[in-house]
Amino acid sequence: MSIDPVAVSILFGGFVVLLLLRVPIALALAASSVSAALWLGLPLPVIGQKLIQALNSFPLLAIPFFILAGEVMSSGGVARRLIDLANVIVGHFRGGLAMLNVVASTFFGGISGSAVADTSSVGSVMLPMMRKQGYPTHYSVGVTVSSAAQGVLIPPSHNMIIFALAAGGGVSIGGVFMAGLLPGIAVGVLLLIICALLAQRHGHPKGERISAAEVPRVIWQGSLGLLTPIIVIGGILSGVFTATESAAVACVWAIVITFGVYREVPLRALPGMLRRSMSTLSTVLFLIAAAGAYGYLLTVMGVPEALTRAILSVSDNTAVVLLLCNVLLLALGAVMDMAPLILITTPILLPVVTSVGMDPMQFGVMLILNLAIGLITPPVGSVLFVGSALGGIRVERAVKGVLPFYVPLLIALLLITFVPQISLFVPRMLGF
Amino acid sequence: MSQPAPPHPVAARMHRMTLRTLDGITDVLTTTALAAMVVVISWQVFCRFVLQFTPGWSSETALLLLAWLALLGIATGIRDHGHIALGVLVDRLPRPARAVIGRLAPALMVLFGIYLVQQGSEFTRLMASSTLPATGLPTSVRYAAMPVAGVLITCYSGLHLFGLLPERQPTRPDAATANDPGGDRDDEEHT
Amino acid sequence: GGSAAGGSVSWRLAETHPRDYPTTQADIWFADQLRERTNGRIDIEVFPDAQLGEERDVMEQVKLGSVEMTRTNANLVTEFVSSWEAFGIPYVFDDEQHFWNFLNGPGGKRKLEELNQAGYVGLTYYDSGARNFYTGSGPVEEPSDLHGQNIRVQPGSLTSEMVEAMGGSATTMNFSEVYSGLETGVIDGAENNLPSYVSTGHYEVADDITMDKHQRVPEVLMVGQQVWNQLGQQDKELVREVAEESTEVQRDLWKKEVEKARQTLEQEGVDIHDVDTAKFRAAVSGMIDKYEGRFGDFTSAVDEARNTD
Ligand code: NA
Ligand code: NA
Repeated sequence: MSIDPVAVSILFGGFVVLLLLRVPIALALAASSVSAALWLGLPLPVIGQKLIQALNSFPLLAIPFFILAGEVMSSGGVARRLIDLANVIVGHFRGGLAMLNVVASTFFGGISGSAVADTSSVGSVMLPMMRKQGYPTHYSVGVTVSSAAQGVLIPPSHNMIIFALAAGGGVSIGGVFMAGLLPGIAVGVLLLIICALLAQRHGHPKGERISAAEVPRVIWQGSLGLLTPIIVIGGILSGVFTATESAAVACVWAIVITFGVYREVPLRALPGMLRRSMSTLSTVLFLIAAAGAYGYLLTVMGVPEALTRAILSVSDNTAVVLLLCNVLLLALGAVMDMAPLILITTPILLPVVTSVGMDPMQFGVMLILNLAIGLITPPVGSVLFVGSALGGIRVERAVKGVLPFYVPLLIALLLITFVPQISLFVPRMLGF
Repeated sequence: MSQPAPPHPVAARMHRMTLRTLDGITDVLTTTALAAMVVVISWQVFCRFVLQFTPGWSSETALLLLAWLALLGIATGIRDHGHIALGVLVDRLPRPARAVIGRLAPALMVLFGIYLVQQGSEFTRLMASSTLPATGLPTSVRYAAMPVAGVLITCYSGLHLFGLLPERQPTRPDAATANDPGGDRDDEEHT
Repeated sequence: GGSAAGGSVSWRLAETHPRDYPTTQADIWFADQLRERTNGRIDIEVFPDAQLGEERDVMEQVKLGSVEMTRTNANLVTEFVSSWEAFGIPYVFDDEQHFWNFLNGPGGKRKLEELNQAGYVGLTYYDSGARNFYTGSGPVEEPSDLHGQNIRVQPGSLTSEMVEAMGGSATTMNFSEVYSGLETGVIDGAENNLPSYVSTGHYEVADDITMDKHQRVPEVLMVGQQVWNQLGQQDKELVREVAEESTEVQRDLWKKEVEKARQTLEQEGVDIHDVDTAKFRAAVSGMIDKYEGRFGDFTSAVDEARNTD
């Protein structure tokens, strides 16, 4: 099939131009899709139908549920309890608060799956604590945001669901979740090592030991929060729930422990939590809908096949193709946010990487870590912005704090790209 | 964006009241839909475990709610300046150029709203004779979200275009950034 | 876009099955033949693997005209033309011969014409065999074995009522979740034809299949009415003719696929239970009577087809 060059220019060029003119990403996707449909002579309502059809997917329902659960837990006091729990584990080491920050994000990333939520809830507690103990603020911000980026890999992450959906149903959500588990923990360990090394070199303070009398309560309350991701993962793996059902149950669980056990906020705070979840959701869902229409036009025009052919004609060397993909993603991630990039790049790049033998689950992990690095990389990085706002420092200062952590993150990205077993070991063992 | 108050005090009050009513309706609809989705799917789980059957209508109903919530969410996103945009280039331009370009997004959004109203109603009409499998409702019930949300989108983005949409105070310190990563604000604002 | 009489035609045909599936192969044969016989003037491109959307989604697009053709299952058509529900009546056809006698006869033609009222033009039928139960929690030798088993069915089909009538409980679930649902026991079984049972890998997690043959639901190849009306008379005849020929191609391929599927299942050690279907039929006799009453025209045409061989 031959590609209509005008239609392709409208779809890609139109999108990029609108993007640069500060048109919201989802609107730019929708508008360039409508224009391309006009040019191709397709009936115009098709874009509207595709917007709605993109939302008509049962697994997609898990996303609002996870976002709501994350919101309830971060404004209902779970973040603080997870920090206490992490304190029991790593608090007494030199550089303990920095390590605490990493471990808390690993826990919290498992619950919210959102690096921005992680940064704002863990960061708002941790940054003042670290300042009080004398850590330089830019370093504290660096730890906070890079560990938040790492937390996205820990299941259940709604970005993983967005990926599974964008991959077109051939990828199991449970499988992608499990593929992220080992890499997520491994990146966490790498970050801890950097924290320990820097603590020795710069003489970071030791943390305070939690009093023995407090420990049982801290473990009990923290574990209740930690149960949320365990309910989800356990529920999916054991077949008690589907992914969507587990997300709904996680929501109910989060509401029960927040208002029934912790009781830090009154029940009348719930509508506010719903509203705040809606404001995150409305942007994510508009993106998913618009990307559905955009992806449809890509298919109709035969773009993914053509691109696969083009890239493979440059090189069919696996290493070269995968490096090219990573460089492209890092460049896009520097200026764009995670969810839209997952939605836009997956249908285009997935056929490319599978044609050189990569498993879609491994690609999902690579894609998400790559884009997570983008979240803490200037010029545009939502997590970096939130972190520097919370720390009250300029973005440039915050970048200085993030710099040492790029090393483990990029090493991890390379390992994940070239060693499939890191991602695939756990899901394969579980039969995905 | 600057916010010139409408000239006449009565007009101003009308404007405020209309906006507040509109905001209230969309907020109530979307948050209720979100809560209802949780309830419906939890009910599905409860039925399967406790009552030993699966209600056929539950997943279809939840998906219907999702379609409505998402489309109405586009409108609330405009109202709250929440949709993610890219400021890298425009932020570096001189102020007058920025002001002109700033009108492009709401103008395009008005067109998109009109598209949803017009083509969405056409498609909704076209789907009136087919039914959804589990609930037996007409398929139009799903697609009607397009024209309805289209009206709200046109209203909000029209107000935005003419600078009549109030700037929102974020609900918590980080919320504006969190909802608008890299969007309507420049790096400098954080310094 | 469409064409005036004798002008060039460029259509998209949406298919949800993968490229090597018999149905997709028949779609491709149909497209190739038309291209060949018109020297490329009628150019139909097949989009397999649900690239243009799932069946229901595509049905809407065909109605709209953004996709010109599709192959879809009669169960799905029900949501657009309610009288097509009749194909879901269990055991309405005695066997394969009876089924095809009906489809190729006046009754089958009338069913195709019913599509016009919803904005479609039906060209021809494809085979999708008989549907059977498969379970992972104990074999089903007779209807009573279904008791307490959670069987996944397509939403809105008569199948759910049928499962309940046989004593099982019917569950609707997203098709893509059925594999993990079976594996982990969220559901105990599902129902489908042999090739799908194999191609979905469901036999790996539900290794008892009961050849109860409860339904024979045809596939149909259709065009949107608006685009169809833009064709010249000669083209209409040609497209219909080639479509009807493609049915023979598809039925051959389908038979081979069923044999291949059976071989695979035997190799994989799946227990295939060739049961006495009379017991299953008896369990749903009340339901059959009820729906045969409701779809009187259909039933009498089906009865006529029984006597025409
Ligand atoms: Na952190
Ligand atoms: Na970035």
